[in-house]
Amino acid sequence: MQKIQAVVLAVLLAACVAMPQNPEDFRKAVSGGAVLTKTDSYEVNRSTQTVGATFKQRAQECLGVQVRTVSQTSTSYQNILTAYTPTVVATAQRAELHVQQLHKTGVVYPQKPPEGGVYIFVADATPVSANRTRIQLYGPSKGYDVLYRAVRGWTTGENMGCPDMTKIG
Amino acid sequence: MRLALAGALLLVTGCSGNLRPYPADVAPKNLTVQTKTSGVRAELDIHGVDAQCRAPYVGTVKLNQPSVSVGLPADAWSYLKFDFASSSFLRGSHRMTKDTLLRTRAGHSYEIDVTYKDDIYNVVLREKPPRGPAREIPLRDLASCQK
Repeated sequence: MQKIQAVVLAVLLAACVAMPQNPEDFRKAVSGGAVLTKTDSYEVNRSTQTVGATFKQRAQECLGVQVRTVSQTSTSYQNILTAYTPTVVATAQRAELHVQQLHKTGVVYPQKPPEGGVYIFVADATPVSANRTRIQLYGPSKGYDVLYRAVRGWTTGENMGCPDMTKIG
Repeated sequence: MRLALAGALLLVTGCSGNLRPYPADVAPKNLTVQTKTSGVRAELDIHGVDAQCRAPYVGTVKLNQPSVSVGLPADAWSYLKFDFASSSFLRGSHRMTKDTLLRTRAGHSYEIDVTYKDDIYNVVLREKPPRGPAREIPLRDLASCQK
């Protein structure tokens, strides 16, 4: 039920404001205080190249998934198929992880979402020193805790596990 | 009403009838699965893989012990599906699957570490030759069978 509420909320929000069409739009929207979003930052004792390599290693396997949510009550039935698409952009000086979410069934978008789906999460890694990296996160403030924790595990190198995306929302 | 009950009964028996224990008599036991989970029920569905990349279901191993060993056919492809299921009053039922193809080699043994804690999971597969250290091998989805 929480997931259904999150979907409805996301669609309502999208109806009220212009939907970010790329990661930079998304960063600006979150930094500008978009409703139900947050930023977070921390530093890790790993090089930016290593963090980028970890994003490449884990993102597709862990985040390139589809989740079906079925919710049924005595008066309603909802069947939502959600596809998540991760993208990693890594150079020597910077690494980025973008996550998009596209509800393929069960949700009507008030605006056409970007190719690949709505941007829901961006992680930027930039060097502080040779072996220290600053991580800046942009994403929802509720319902996506498992994604934040998984990405923290990857960036620190302490846990390479995947988030159970069925628990999002 | 009677028809609905009969239909429900058929569905229930049909579902439970599809799951069967993986045969215990496949030798040698070349796969050991080490499991550390909390808050979920974990199972391993084992499928064969034929030349057309079809994956007929063979059986299920319940991962309710820290370690379990099974035998996979040597020098053949198997398709392994790890199933994590949970349910609670507030969040309802969830089921998450992680799968991989595995080509076993005669004389080699295989180890899989399965973890699930705080909604974060990991499946790590290693191949151990008759002599020498084990090496981690990447997971492969069924679609890569034809490549």
